[in-house]
Amino acid sequence: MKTSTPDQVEIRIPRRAEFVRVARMAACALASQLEFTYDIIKDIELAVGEACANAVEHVSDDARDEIVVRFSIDSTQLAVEVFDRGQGFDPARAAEAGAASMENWDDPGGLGLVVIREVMDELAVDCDPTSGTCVRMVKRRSR
Amino acid sequence: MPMNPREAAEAKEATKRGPVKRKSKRDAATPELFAKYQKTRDPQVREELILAHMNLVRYLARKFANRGEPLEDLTQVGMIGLMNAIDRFDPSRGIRFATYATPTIVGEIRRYFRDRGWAVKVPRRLQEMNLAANKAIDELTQKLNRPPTVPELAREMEISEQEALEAMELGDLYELPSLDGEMGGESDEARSKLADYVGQVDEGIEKFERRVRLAEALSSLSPRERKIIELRFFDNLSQTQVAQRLEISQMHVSRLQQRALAKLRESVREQDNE
Repeated sequence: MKTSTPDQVEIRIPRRAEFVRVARMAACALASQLEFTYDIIKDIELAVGEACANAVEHVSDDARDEIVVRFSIDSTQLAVEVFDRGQGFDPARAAEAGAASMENWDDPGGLGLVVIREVMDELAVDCDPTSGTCVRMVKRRSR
Repeated sequence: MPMNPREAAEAKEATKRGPVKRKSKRDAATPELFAKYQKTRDPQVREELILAHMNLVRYLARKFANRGEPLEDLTQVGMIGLMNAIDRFDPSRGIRFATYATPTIVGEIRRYFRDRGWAVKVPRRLQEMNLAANKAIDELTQKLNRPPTVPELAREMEISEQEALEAMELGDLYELPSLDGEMGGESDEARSKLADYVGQVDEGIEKFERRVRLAEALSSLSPRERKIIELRFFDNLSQTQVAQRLEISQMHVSRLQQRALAKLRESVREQDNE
C-alpha cells in the first residue's frame, strides 16, 4: 500500500479553555475520515483535549497567546501536534507534580500526559524554554 | 470481562461511600500505608488506600463522561482498576502511585466501552440525537420566531453544548447500516439483524454490575426461555440457529426471546428498586 504525503490541517486557537472544544471537534471530524471506530475517535478527541488543556495551563507572558494544533492525516494514521509558546515543562516532572497534587484533582496537570500515552499509539513531548512546547501524538489505523 | 461478582460488589460498595472526607494527614501518610499494605496485605489498609484514591478515579472517569455512559458506572469500573493497581503497586520502585494507577484505571474504563459494543451502539445514539436535535430546532424556531442558538438547543434537549454540537455536526458523518438491515455474510448463520445486536448490548448482559443480579433474574424464566437466552446471548447463536436447535420456527424464537428479555428487564428493575 502506498503512503502518500499526508494531508495537513492546522488550526490556531486562543490559549483559553473555552476554545479547546474547537480543537476537540476538529479531531473528531478528522478521525472519522480515517474510519476509526467511534470509541477510538473519542479517545483521539480526549487526547487532543488533554494536550490543549495542558497548553492552556502553562502560564506565559508571551504575547502570542495561542495554541497551534496541526493534524497530519494519511491512509494509515492520524498524527497530531499541539504547539504552544508556553515556558515549557518537563514532562516527567509535570507528571510527578500532577500526581503529587492530591489536594486538587481538578488540576493534576501531568496526569493528562499519562492518559494520552494510554489512549494513543505514540506520544512525544518536546519542551524548549525559548520556542515552547510541542506534544506530538499518533494514532495508527489497525486494519 | 474479567470481573468477578466479589470485585463488582466491592467496587459498587466503595463507590457508594461517596467522596472522601479528606483528612489533612491522609496524603502524607499514603506512602506509609502502601508500605504497610505491601507487608501485611491487611484488608483494612487496602480499604484506606482505596478511599484515599477515589478522587483519582473520579477525576479520570470524568474525562470519559461525555460518551453517554453514566459517570457512576465509569467510576465503578475505574474502581476495579484502582484496586488492581493497589494490589500490584510496589512503593519501593520510586514511581508515584497516581502515575502508576492511571493506565490501569483508564484501561478498565476503556475496556468497559469496548465490551459493551459501544462503537456500534453510540453512532446509533448520535444519529438518534441528531434526529432529536432537528426536531428540537424546528420546535424552538416556532417558539422563538428564529432558529435557536446552540446553548438554547442544548438546554431544550437537556444535554451539554458539546453534545448538541456533536449531534448536529457528527451525527450524520457516519454511514449507518439500517437498523433492520442484515449484518454479516451471505450464509444463513452469519445473518443477524443489527437490531438484535444492539438489543443484545442494550440489555446490559455485558454490564458487570447487573451480572450478579442476572443470575437471579434468570431464575424467573421458564426452562425454554432460559435456554433461548443462553443460546442467543451466551453462545451467540443467531435466532435462526436457535430455531434449528430447538426445532421451532424463527418467529417463535423471536417471540420467546422478547418475552424472556422483558421478564429479565422487569426482574432486574425490581431488584434495583429493592
